[in-house]
Amino acid sequence: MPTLKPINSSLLTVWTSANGTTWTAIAECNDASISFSHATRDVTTKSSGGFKATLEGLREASISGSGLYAYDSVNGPDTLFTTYLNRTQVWIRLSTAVTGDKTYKAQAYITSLELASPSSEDTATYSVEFEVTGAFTQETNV
Amino acid sequence: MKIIVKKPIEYMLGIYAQPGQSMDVDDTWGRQLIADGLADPFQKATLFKAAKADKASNQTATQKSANDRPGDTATEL
Repeated sequence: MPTLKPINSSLLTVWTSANGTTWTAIAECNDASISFSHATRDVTTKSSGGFKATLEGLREASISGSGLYAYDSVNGPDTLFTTYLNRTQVWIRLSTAVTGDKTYKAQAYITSLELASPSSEDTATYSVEFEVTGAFTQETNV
Repeated sequence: MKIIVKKPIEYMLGIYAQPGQSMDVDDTWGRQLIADGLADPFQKATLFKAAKADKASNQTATQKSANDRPGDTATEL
């Protein structure tokens, strides 16, 4: 049964996959987001009446996530670093693990990876950003 | 679903989760890994048993007996 009412953000996380079918959540995730944008084309002319006119253009998306840094985690920053270093194209999605919920899915490259050790006696963290290449889709978890 | 790895599982190209590690995977794949004997479902009791085994190996017979009472409820440590 799909999630109803406003979603508890604990359910939504970033998942990666080598093949687009078997998915692993990024480790110790505490923040996740996806951003879509559409760069329209400017077709303004002198006869546009002083208003900007546009037509369809490039659509793009990126997914970002962050979490706590642990050396022994699965699909944590050390794995993401290998993916980044090898410039491996991976499948990426933002979704819950609940059957029937929407999932946003695409292929992407890591364009940013940051490991941080804030202050002292604090928790080490990481953040990662994936830039989508090609089409992205909205599907339903099965 | 969260699982405990029993045998190495390749989750990214050339990258494997090792036995004893926990990982979050999609439900379909998780059920398949469990059915194939590569993983166990993650349960708090799993951690409890592991911790209890470690503790038992370092204590006297009397202490071990006291900690092994039948009907004990698994609790998170």
